[in-house]
Amino acid sequence: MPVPLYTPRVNNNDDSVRLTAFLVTPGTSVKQGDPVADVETDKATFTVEADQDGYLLAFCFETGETVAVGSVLAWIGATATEAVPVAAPAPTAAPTGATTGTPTLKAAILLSQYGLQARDVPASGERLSAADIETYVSARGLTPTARSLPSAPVAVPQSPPEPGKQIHLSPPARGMLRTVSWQKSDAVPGYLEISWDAKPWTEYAAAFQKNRRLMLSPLLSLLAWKLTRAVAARPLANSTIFADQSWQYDHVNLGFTVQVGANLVVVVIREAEKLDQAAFVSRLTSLQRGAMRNSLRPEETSGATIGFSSMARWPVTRHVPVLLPHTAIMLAHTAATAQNACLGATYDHRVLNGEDVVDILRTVTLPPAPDSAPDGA
Amino acid sequence: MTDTRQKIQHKIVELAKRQGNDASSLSFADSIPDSGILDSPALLELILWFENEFDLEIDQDELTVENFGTIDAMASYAASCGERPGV
Repeated sequence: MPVPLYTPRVNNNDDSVRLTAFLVTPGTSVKQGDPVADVETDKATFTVEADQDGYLLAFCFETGETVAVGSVLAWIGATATEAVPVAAPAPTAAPTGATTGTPTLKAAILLSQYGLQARDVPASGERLSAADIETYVSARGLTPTARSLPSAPVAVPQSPPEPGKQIHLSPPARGMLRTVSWQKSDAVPGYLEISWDAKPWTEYAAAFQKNRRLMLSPLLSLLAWKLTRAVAARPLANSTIFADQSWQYDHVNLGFTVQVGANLVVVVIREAEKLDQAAFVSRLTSLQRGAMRNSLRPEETSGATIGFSSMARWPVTRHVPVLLPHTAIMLAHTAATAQNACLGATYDHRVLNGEDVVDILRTVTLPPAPDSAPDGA
Repeated sequence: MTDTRQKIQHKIVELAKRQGNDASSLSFADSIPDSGILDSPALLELILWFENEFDLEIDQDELTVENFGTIDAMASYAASCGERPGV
């Protein structure tokens, strides 16, 4: 029997979302966690995932449509040929756990603007909606109180003002959109950088490469490894703010940006704090190769708790990277010039302050003591 | 073997050109990492091309200068893989 996939709540303030893209074709086999559609509000973009294994039977809306939170977005069946119910069932539970008669957020704002109490207005459904209140005040000719006049409504365009066509974003592009949107809507980003002498690290990495007969320079990998050590010693840097609470991660998962063709891919070394230098370098090289082969597993591109980005190869001398979602720091490595080298970081000011970040950056600029490498590098 | 070397050399010249470097004078015996004509991402791209070109899957531990440090070494590695059963 087909089961419904409900439209999720993306923001507390939005009772509806816009359906922007189908990511699978009806009749396609899906696994739990597979992305099936993209939805958005004015503040955020969100990918809806299958909540169970099966076949995506049908979508209930077209792209571009506005969909009420909690309504049936799609149907998933055990086989590809099951019939889809004509009438969509109501959600099994209100998405926010609200009780009968509880006002929606928009309704609560309207109640405040009209100086009303929720008990004054009859609800037409399970929850007291903005429409209930508008009907109520219209019938009684009520006007908002002077102190709380709402601002003029803002028209939300359904498409840009000029003619054009919609082109679905590629998975990497959607990932970048989510990353940028998270920083815009959630984080309070700051950026700072320090000058440093890159020569000791360059020499250390060269010796490390020579002693292990490596083909590739391990410099960036070793800098990233040092960042994981610095963060492991400062748990605050390995945390985020979630639901107005601090959320400290159990492990240091390093996200490392890799350019693959025109796309930027973030590969993730999980539990990086457990790896020594050689294991870390080998693991990161393996992930980079996987990224170039397009053969990474989902867990190898998700779950970063800190980030590392270098634009030294272009050669960029300053860049301000975007924080990865739910991380507090992204280190920015750049090209050194004859006159100067700088190491920077974007950070979430809700979690870290400038002094914390400078402390981390200074730690990263110091290579390990020569005798810390297993074979004396 | 010469054909293999030339293929590799041609690819290196192509990758180096994208980075604004001229690798046309790189000999078969010159050290590729020491020459500095390819950075790490470009070297990874060279390895990926090598795997595809010669239908190989190179183990992480085998990514050493002994196997890939020169065009000669790469050609020898490809030849030795061709002689190994199941490779």
